[in-house]
Amino acid sequence: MWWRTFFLQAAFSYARKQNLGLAAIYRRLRPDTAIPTEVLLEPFNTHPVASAFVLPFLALQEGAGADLGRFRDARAALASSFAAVCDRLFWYLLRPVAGLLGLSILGLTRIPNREWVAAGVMLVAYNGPQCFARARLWSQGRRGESPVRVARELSGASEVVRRAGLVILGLAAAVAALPASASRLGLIPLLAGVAFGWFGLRRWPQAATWLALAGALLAGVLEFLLTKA
Amino acid sequence: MVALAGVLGADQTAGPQWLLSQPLIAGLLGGALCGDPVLGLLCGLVCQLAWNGSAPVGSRPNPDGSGGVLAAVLGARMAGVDGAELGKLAWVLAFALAWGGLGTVWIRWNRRWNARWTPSIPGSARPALDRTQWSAWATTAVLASAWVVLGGVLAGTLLPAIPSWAAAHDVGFLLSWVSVLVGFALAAGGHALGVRWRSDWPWLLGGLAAGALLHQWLGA
Repeated sequence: MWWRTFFLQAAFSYARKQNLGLAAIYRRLRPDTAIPTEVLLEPFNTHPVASAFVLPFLALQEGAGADLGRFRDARAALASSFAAVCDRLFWYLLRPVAGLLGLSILGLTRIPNREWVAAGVMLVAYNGPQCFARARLWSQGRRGESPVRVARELSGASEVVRRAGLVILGLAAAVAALPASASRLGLIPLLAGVAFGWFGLRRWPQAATWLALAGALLAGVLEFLLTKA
Repeated sequence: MVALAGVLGADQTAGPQWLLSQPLIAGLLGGALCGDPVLGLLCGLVCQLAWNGSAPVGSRPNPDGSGGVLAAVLGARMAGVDGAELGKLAWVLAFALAWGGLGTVWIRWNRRWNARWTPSIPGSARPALDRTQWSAWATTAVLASAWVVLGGVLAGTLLPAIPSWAAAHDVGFLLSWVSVLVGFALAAGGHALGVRWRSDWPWLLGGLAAGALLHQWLGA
């Protein structure tokens, strides 16, 4: 059943978030549930990976005699606290780190078919840990393990991923800087991009697309100036 | 291509969220399908560098990474542009970014529409819940495909009509742009990881050393 959590957001909406995903999976987990469908279809929002813990845990609590009020309280508390932990771990850390790892491999020219290797590594670097986490969380939820302990475990994993991410960021910087320093253009466009991205994204964190397009103008100016020089 | 666009578009949020929709992967698959892997790789690379740090947290939609890339590749192939035509290639890359950025329009519409599925579920029947969920997934895939087809037709019409990007005739411009975007992606990675220079420098330095060694061994 845990594979259904991959489709938790199939009907994601602004008004009710992942309610339909929750209701569909919960009904399969507890076909004889006493929780009315209307309650299951109330707004529900957590991280998709975290749902692998939240859903079996809620089903276990209902089996142990939790009434409607306790079901609602547990759902609200678990959804928000696990969303906070898993958003950081999977969206802010693992996802960009997997991308940086794939991009680093693209910069290593002696690897044959490196674009496909990069894509494969990117997929494995993200999906390996997230599938493992889903399976483990599902089993922990079914056993009714302490949510506090599980959340603490995920926070610990976040710090490990962050440190691994810092190493990969350094690796990506070296793989990008070394060939650039040997080229005709030198390091100037790369360093300009770092400064542009650092300050641009701090000021307009949602404007990555338009900053990347503005990067073309910056590249044009730099190319003109460097060619003149 | 239409089926690929649907599956990758749904992968972004509706599921299974395996990162198949990341621009680099979408570009490779789209380029291979259209018979121009270099063009697909370039579109995917530029968009991946631009959006690598974007996180789909909460209800905030990310740019449509796979849609932008696939529409640009499709449009370029329709217009007969290939990876070697630098003056047009710059427009193709800019189109991929712009179309992906505008893709939040269909994503927002789709999410508003999804709220309508809930009242249509009768009683508490499990098959109805399952059926509705898969219908919502399929609707997302159809919308994603439509966005790619629309973008492809638009790009395929516009590209032959507009003149080549004069500055981009020189490969130096494209190299500069990619270099700027690589720097941009590194900065976005730094933001995402919440770099604290005072305490994190040993990890970064270790990565730099590993990168230098790997570059010597596999890159030079």
